[in-house]
Amino acid sequence: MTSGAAPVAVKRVLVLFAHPAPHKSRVNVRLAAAVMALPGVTFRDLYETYPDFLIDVEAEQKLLLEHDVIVFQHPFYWYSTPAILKEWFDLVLEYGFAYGEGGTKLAGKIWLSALTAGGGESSYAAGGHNAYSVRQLLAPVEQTANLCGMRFVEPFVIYASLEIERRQKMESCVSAYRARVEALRDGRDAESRA
Amino acid sequence: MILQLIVYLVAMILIAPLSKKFGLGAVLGYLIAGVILGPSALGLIVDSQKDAGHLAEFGVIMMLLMIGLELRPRLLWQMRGPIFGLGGAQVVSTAVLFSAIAKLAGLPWQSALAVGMVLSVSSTAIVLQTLDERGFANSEAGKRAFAVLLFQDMAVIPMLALFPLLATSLSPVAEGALQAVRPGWQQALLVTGAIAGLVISGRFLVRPAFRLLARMKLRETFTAMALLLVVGTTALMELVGLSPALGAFLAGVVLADSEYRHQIEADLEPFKGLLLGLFFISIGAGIDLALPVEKPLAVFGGVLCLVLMKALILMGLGRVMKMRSAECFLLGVSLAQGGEFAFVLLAYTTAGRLLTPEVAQLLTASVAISMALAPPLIAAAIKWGLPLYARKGEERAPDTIDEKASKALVLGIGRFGQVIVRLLRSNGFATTALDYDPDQIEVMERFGIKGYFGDATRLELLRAAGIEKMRIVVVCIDDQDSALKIVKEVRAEYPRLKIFSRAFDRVHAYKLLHAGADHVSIETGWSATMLGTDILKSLGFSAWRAHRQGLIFGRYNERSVAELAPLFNQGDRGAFLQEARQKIDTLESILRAEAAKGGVEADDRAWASPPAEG
Repeated sequence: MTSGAAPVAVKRVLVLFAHPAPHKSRVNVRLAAAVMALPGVTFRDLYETYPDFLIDVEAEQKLLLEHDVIVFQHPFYWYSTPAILKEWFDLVLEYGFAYGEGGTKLAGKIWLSALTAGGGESSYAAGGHNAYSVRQLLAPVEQTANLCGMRFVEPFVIYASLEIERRQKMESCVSAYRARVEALRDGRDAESRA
Repeated sequence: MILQLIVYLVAMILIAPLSKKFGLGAVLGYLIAGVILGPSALGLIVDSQKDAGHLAEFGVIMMLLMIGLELRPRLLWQMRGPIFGLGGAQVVSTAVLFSAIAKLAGLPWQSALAVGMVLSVSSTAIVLQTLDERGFANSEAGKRAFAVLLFQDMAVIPMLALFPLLATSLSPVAEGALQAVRPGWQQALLVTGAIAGLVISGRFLVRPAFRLLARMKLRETFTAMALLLVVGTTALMELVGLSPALGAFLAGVVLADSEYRHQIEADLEPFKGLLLGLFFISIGAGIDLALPVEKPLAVFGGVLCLVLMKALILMGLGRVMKMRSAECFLLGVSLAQGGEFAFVLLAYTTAGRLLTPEVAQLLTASVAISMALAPPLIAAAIKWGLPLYARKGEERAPDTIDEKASKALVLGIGRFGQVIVRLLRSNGFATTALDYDPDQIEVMERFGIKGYFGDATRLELLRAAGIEKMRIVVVCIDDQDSALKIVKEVRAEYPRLKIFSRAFDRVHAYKLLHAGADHVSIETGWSATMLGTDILKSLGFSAWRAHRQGLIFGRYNERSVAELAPLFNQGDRGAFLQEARQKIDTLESILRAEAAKGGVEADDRAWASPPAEG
């Protein structure tokens, strides 16, 4: 679309954060804290907003319409999303809104999955402990984005999140995430412009 | 006089349970009792008209008042097709047919018309009860039968009004003193005035009076007021020369949408039952046992003709209304008998000399016999008749379950009950609500929630409110002992009903479960847990964690109530206290464990990612 050098309009970013036990989280809450206060970023904690799982579909859809980049930030539980995010998909991505006849409201928006995984990167490969790559395991999520006409960009993954002991390592993860979100916001993310 | 009273009362006490046991229904039981006690058998009752005449008539008047009370314009409107179409066609065609037969038999046309009308009605009590027992109350035929019966109940009113006119046209004898001396226009004015007065005072005098009495919680006075309503209406109607039954029906209709409807019904029910019993016994006593022996052909031919004609007419009408043939068949058989209103109408004909005693006797006997045959006939039709249709490839039409019909009876619509009523209502379930506080009812009514006034601790009121048709009873009243009493009585009387109850505290909950409640909820339990959840949140817990902790706590709390109840109710306080203490300890340790999990991430079991290799 636009050539690399041209200035790009700032995009509005919505971070949908889903963690059932933030009090036990080490990496995920720090990642959240890193993007929460960024200009142009709306941060939404799904478990905090809907502890009873009664998702307000209209409010969620309105938020989606108001943003260009949607970040789903969550731990990679059982090769998938935490329960509330599945519930969120099931309710918010309605026929006629996100897909199906007239369901073009999300078309062209960017979808970023930002995950923390317990296994190391090498385990997510053929022959490894988890047998498939994260991208392969995310196929249902990626296809969800596709069906909604959204651009599924390369997921942001922190591997071996339970083993991040060193402060330095933690900080490099956090800044990498912040940089990725900022790049998406400013339209600098290489993949998203492809 | 006292002796006669004893005879009547003993007969009632003996007969009612017996006829219930044999599935005959109270009406037939009383008739048979009357026959046995009457002059043609034991001779214990000599002159039934003199003994019971006026008093028994009040039974009929109260019955009509209650029919009026039960008439809800909305129901009539919803079912207008079957009621006025099918019902109207049935009454008119049956009446015309039997009138023609009577005319051919040589009766004057006025008498013939009376015979037709007497035979056109069927027995509401017998039909509805039999169909309900056999599980066909909600079938297509059952619903149509109900509609036809409803129309018949209403048609009796104009018939009663018509009989005196027919009688005077047949034998013009001055009857009502007032009526005879006044010119026609004055009489018309008087009648209109009386009816208008009845309707207006029903709205603006009787209702406020009931409200006042309800507010003062004077139970006997409320009953007295209900009786006064009956007697007063009767007096007014007699004064202007109208049928008291018609007046009572009108009074009932006027009060049908009032919040005092169920309480009036409950208060009058025992009187109505007793006086109607008296009425039917006196009718029975009037039956001459010699009749079937002397004229077997007339009596049994009459019964056969009655049953066959009525069945055929309804089957034909059902066909016209495009019902399936199996449903037509059942509808026809169900309504093929005379009804209790036939006796009422007959009582009015002899007083008015419309029919000779011989004809009245013959009709009474035929109607009574046809009513006795009705339950076995309906049963046989269901058992042997319907399968024949099924073999012909006709399946039973699916029952239409009336979603709008109330399935839950909510007792008490104060702070607690109104939440339940609103929750059920917003999910499309109609409820019937009772409360003992007229002001509360008024407030709720302002917000479109209809409640009825009444003392829920009285079983007869619950019956008047339709408990027999309910699936669920919800006890939400404040008073702990009354709640226990209600649960106990309802459980004993209606073993299949589900009883939900509000409990004041744990001990009350134990007692309620022991009394037979299926489900109890301690009124403060969940609300305290919810507030506690909010507090956990403000102390720094994430919303989801606080929510789960609250749910876990609340659920455990509830389970421990159900588990501890048997121990408490065994009466072994020692064992109970020990167990209760242990429960509290268990709860504490469970929760401590829950809370402790937060601190140790490495061996946490909940919400961990799939582990890394090795």
